[in-house]
Amino acid sequence: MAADDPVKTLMNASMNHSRRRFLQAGGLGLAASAGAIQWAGAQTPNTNAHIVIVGAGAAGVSAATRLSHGLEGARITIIDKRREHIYQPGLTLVATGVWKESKVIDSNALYIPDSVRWVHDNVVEFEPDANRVITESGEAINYDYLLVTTGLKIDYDAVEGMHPDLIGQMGIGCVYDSPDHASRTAKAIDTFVAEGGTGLFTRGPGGIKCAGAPLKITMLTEDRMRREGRRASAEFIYNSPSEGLFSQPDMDAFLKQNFPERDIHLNWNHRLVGIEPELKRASFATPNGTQRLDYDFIHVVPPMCAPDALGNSPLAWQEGPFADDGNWMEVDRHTMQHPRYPNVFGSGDCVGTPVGKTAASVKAQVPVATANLISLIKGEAMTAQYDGYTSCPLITGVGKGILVEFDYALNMVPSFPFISPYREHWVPWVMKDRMLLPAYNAMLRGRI
Amino acid sequence: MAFSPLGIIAVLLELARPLLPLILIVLAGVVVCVIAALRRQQLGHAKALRLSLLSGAVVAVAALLLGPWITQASFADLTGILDWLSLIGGAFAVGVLATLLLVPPFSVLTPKQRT
Repeated sequence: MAADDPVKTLMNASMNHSRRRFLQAGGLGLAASAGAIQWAGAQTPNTNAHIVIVGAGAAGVSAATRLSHGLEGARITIIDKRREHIYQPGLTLVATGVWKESKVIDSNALYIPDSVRWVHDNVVEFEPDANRVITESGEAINYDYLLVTTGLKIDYDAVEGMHPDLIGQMGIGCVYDSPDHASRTAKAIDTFVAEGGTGLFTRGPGGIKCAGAPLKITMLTEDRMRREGRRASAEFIYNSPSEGLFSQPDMDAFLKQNFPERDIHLNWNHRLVGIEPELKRASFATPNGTQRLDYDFIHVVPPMCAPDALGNSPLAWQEGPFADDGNWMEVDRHTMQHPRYPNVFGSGDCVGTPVGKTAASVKAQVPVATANLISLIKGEAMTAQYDGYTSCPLITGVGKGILVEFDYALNMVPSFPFISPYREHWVPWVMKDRMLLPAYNAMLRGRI
Repeated sequence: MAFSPLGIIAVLLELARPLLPLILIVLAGVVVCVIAALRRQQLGHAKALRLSLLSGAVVAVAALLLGPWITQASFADLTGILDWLSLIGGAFAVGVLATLLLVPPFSVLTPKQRT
């Protein structure tokens, strides 16, 4: 189905409503029995639609806030077991010892509006044909509209010998997933800085969240050793699974020049496939076969994919690069609407779009997804469009960085034209260190 | 991505949120001083203004010198005019804020000079 065609999209939506009414009439008691839409008129609909949001991360919470502000009468349910809210963009600073772990831990209860029903459970099954989700405790929750914001899964199993329990031990670090992982990584980096040796830095193939994080960990660690006068004691090797370092070409060119200048050796087409913790040895798949490298510290970045419940559901891409890469959720890249299930939208790390998987992407995607969802409820054309905006405050060392912002076309789209996206400055560092957490919290409250 | 003026204010309010108790205490102190100074008809007298300006200037210079250090950076990290203008502008703003906040207490604490 052509998601880009608004007429078809609206027809799909209309068909969906008709199907709900049919099911209601048949007394089947499926999702639509929740009441759905009561059209009071073409221009001013009165809705008691039930909107279910799956996932209470950055996208889910900010969507809940926006929808609760933007709709009258709708029932909004958010499903997530997690009570903690993690400020994930800060994990690189925790892992490199710049921030304390407590700075990135917050509470979802402070941000989820009181009017939103919060189900403390996890979704284990998506049944979009029946307009319902099934939770871990076995509860079936029907919906009229669904917003999927599950986040993603770090696929540790894809790296043979790797287990999250190893993080912080035997020279293994991994910044992703939790403040605890970041703190344990900080301890492993402390040891590496003190003792020196060979540092291997990796990056998972395909779509990963905060794709700048593996680079930032490398540069911040190198910067710290230099500042502490211990740089000569360590060898830095960055292993890229492709022949690039960054998707935006200008930044890719900058890094390809900057890393060698900092004596960071680059290995191309080196995909981490296994580690032997006891031997401190890593295996990489390369065009010339498997290559084994010894290390004293390794930053493991496993591949990432959609959570199993989502990736195995009909909502995932059924074929193509986003299916092959990580079973990501299928959405129209501009409207954030599911092309085959028009009453379903997606935002955040779980969706299969060309660039993204950052908090900045969430900031741009969620207003589009929620505006289009509201338009759909009202029976109006969906006009909000996501242009692929994403951002990475690429911290090159403590005290300096580059504010990189770009779109689907990989064009630089700076929010502040006076900040050059092509050279290192102190100001982007200050923004990363001081301003982005408040901006993130304002996003959760639906204010930006 | 454009940030609206209201959006920027929202971010600044979030920035201030953890400091809210301190901000309220300072503002309460300033209000008390304003009331006390108004009762004595000496709010913003010349000596208080001079002292406030002098103190504000000291605070601005301190902010200028300590700005990079506060952000765990160093002057070597300031690599262009943007960084220097930001530092100078920020220090100036801090100095102005300090001046404004210090006028009421100095108005109360220093005697008004008779003309």
